[in-house]
Amino acid sequence: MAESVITDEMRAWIGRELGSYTIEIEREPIRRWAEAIGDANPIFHDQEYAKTTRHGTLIAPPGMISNYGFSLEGHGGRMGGLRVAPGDDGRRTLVMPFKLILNGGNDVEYVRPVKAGDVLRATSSIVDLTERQGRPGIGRMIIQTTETVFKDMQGRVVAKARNTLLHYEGK
Amino acid sequence: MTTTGARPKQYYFEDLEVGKELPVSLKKKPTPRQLVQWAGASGDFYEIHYDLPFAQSTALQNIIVHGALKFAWLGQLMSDLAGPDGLVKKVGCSYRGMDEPDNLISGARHVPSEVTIKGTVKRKWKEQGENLVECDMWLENAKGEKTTPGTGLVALPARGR
Repeated sequence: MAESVITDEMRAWIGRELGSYTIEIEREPIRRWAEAIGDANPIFHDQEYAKTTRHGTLIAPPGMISNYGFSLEGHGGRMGGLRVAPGDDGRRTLVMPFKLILNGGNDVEYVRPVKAGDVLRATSSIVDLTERQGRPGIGRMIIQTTETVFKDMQGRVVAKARNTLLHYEGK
Repeated sequence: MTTTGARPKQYYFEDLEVGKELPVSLKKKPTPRQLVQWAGASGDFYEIHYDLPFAQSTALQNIIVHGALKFAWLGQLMSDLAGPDGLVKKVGCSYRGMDEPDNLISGARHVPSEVTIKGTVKRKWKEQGENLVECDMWLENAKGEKTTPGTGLVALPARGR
């Protein structure tokens, strides 16, 4: 058995908050996001229509919030060692030994729909770090599970997101 | 998919049957252009999604569709099912297989890449005044391989209420 690539310093992140950041959910980014995925549903761009639905206002597409569920500094293999989500409230970083990543999965639970005009505070935590040996070309992998909780300005939970990210060696 | 100006259809709790296919499905043909558009909208600019030489310098043979874009399409399926008066409660998926866009970048092999997003009704129940429908759903490639299996949960209105 080869030596673990997850150092004690990395392991100490399990169960810890990485940081928090504020997201303003605005109409125009919602419209552009829906357009980018090819979703013409008027609930994402037509305020008059939205008033006739149970929501009463424009909402964000369900997938939109998952983008904030994993936030990476130095995202992109050209930038070297990957640092994971420091948030805007500190400079704590989890530095990964591998610079390549693949997304393993996303899960979001919505307590209520995210609406245009919402200001949400997202807090991400590392839930788990495990390692695995991948096929040739992938090599060693660290599987990072992150949970992000989105709260409104009153502190009520709006959504919870989970992301699995595969950091791999590429050998 | 709905078109601008048309009111999206409403499905009702009573209309869905456990084990049956969902009344909604989507077909998508991701192109490199769309992946760039998605990168801009989402902020995910990882080069494996639009820079072929970079993608080939990693474990990949081609640029690939963003996992989170596939998640977004599964989310679209659930919001189409929820309709104007339903709610999307959960969306989740795993990226088991890669999907390549219809690749027009010089030198890359051309792959037919139309993908289908669809699902079946797994379970229906009433809880705390809500009519819940749990779905198995997935994205399948042109060969019919389910590259992205997932589950969704919506609350639907009941007829006559």
